[in-house]
Amino acid sequence: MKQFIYIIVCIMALSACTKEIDFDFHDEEPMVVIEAQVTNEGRWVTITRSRSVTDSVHSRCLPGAYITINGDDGLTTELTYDEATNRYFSPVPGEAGNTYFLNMFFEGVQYKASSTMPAATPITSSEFSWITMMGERMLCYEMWAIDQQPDVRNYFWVKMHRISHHPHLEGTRQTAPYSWDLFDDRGCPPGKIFLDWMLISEKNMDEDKEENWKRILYDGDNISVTLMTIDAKTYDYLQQLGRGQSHGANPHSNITGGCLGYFAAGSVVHTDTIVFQRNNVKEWQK
Amino acid sequence: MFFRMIAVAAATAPLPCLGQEEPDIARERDLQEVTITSRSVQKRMEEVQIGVEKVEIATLAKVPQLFGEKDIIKSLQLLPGVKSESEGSGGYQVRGGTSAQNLILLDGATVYNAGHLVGLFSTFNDDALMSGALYKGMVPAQFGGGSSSVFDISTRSGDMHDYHYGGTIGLLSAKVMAEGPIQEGKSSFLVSGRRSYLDLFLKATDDYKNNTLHFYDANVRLNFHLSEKDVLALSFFHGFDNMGLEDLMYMKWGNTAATANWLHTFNNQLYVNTKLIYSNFNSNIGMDVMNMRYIMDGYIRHASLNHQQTWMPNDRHHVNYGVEGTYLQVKSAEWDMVLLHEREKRNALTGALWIGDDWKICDALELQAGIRLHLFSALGGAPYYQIDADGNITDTTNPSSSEIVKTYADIEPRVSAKISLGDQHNLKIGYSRTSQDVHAINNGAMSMPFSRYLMSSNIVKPEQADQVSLGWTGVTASGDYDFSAETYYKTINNVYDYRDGKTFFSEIEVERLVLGGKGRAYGLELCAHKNNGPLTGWISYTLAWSENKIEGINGGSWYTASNDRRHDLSIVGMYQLSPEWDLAATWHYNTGQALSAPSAKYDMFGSTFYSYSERNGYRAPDCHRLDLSANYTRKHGKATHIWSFGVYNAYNRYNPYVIRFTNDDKKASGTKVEQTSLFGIVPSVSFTLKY
Repeated sequence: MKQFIYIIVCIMALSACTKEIDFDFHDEEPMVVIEAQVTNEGRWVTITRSRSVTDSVHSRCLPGAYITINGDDGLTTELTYDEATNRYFSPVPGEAGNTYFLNMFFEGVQYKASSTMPAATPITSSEFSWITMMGERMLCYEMWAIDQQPDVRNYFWVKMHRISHHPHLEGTRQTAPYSWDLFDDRGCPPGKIFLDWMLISEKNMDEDKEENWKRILYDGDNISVTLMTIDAKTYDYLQQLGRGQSHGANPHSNITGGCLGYFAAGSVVHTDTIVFQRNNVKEWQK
Repeated sequence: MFFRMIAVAAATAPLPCLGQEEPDIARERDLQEVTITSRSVQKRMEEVQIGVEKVEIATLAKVPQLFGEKDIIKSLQLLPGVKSESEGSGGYQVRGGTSAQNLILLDGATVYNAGHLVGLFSTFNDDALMSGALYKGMVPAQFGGGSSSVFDISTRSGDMHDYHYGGTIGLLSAKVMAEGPIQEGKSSFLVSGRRSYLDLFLKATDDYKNNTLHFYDANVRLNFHLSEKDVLALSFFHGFDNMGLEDLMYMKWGNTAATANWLHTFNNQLYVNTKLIYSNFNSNIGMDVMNMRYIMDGYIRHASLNHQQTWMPNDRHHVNYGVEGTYLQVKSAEWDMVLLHEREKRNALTGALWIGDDWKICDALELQAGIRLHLFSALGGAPYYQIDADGNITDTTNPSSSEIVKTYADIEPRVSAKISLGDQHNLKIGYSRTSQDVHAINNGAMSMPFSRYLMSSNIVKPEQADQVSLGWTGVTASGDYDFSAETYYKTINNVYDYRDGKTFFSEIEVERLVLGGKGRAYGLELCAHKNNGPLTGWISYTLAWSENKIEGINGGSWYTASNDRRHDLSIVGMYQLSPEWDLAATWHYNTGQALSAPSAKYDMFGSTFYSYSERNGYRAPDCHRLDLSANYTRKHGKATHIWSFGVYNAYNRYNPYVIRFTNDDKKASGTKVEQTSLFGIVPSVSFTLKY
């Protein structure tokens, strides 16, 4: 809705302009960043450090940590550092309904967290479509899935991944999701959840400006979507993470010990990987 | 002073058939004069209250404004201690408070979000206004409901003898006005209306022709002199905004206010004013895209009975006392999220008893002192909760609608003293406690019509501010120049803000979304006026600090408030070039707004995120702007036409509105910083015709 207002304001303010400015950033001591997940596909942790705002070199996972994850099913798993995949990993899957406890020692500091793993949400359909808004066609993505726990509020973290071989994206880092979002199932039809996701306008795709290359889906791009059912605390963390980027606040980590990052137990489902072909996208039908 | 203005609002036009010896009418004339010339040097020197500013509509007409729209709210922003929320914004902040802590009264009725088009234009049409008084320091005891300031606006009465008509066509809106006698000398009417025609511009474009973007407002005022001692004034206001993107999204909001005001004069020493007041602010937003259908509406409704008496036993005392009761309804939200329907609506009773006295102790010492008993009772008929530290509901009760859930009672002392140091100088000192029961929770620093509102409850306490201030006023012997300096220190308790990560639609139970804390503000305000000659105007300067402390934010430590700005300077000049031409210029400068900027970045799930170690630890670039206007006035018999020309931001300075940080691995700096500015140079022209 804020974008809506912003559009209105911009329509009125015909003389509005955006320009790049110089900015003097303060320095901050690097902080430990922990990203840890238990899913039905295994357990993994990455440890990095924060870096200067003006540093464009991405971090690699730091070795030297002792990490265990145990569940209230009594099973304790030690995660080992794997340089090839750049993370600590254990293939032991988590099970929905269990609460998992992260216990980690790194550089003399103990970090602890817990998270409860909700049930998976099987995807029943997903497809791209066009919808016309304000005279422009928008590329959208719609997904439907089965709500396994219709009596409680469920929380979802959805990520769209794109691997592109388009010349515009050659040499670019494609580890980041093409897009990610959070939603809950309030108001969804009984037993179902859905996601309607606005991606990019056809006009922007046609204009193919360099500033939009990361947002444009090109013919031949491999697209897959991951839907992860998460607990309320992880949802809150990710909400804070997303909103904090524009509101100037760090999310409250659920990991004790003084670090950035999160520990999430969640159930993951994937769509099939498809090859994006713009001409195959149909108009959206209710 | 407030009561005088009420009296003026009730009946400003002179009565026929009554000579000057009629005491009531003589007083009304006196009051009218007081209001109209209240920014004169004499009145500023005589003012006992500390921290009061009067807005003169005649001055407002000369000061240049954005798009040429005369705007009583934006004119406030040129005064010391008053700041805009951002460029072009209709929200204003007083002495470190937020815009939601200002009480705006139109003929006694509360108005919320007093801006059209998200604040670009004022809700109030200047054709209908008579005067406005902003109380930013010592607030008279008869006012309650705004913890930071009270802006008391009075509408104008129609002429009881002659008919007048007028109309103005501007770039973005047009307005009409009519006034005159209903029964000559006995009753009068004033009707004014304004409508924007931005939607006509949209219809001329291919891309936006199916969109909606307009506002309108209407004022009606009827005055009846029922007898020599009784005056009845009825005033009505309705303002409405409508924005829509085709049939996909819409946003509508508006205020409706109605006041019946009966003034009865017993004798020269005692008069009584009774008001019946109704106000309703409502907002309604919605979206219907693909399967996403979201609708949310809310309202704040006041129904009040206010009775006050003014007793002047001698020329040393001016006593005002009264009682007020209000039935308050706040629908924080009622929404449809696809198939889910939820609503949170609560009712309350508020009451107040007060007494205040303007006491002239001796020629050198005057005192304005008052005390207000403020009562707030949250009523049943809706669920009430117990909430844990994480915002989860631990217990729910459903008291009946006749049950009082929680009552707060506060004593609010208010006192201001003026010590005259000869004819040309005086010192003032004041203390004021104010409270507020309706809390607006905004996402971001700017107030928006779809803010969630919550009332004090079993969990949420009334916001309460304490302010001490000290001031000096001086005038030159000729009266050509006068100067003032005021300093203040203010604390505010029970300030509420969103928990991190929460937004207005996160939960229907708004108390789950907020955290309470406190704030403090202090500063110095300087002002110099030039009063006589063809060139008049003023220079105002504000040095200010504003800080907040809310558990869960910034580690629970004090942090710079997002509305903190260290320096604000306004220079206003008005020049009467000839009987036909008057020119005006304003130059405004302020240091950058407090800003949270990243101090590090880190990677998670392949994406790069920023880390913020300090809340509002940075500053946006400074802002400054020159606005110019010229009015050409000609009279042709009974008709007067006025051409008004204006240039907003004359030297095309791009001031920061939004600053955005974007990770950019291709850049050596690693981060791209972009500043978006709303307005470059904006010329305007309007034509007014009056009979």
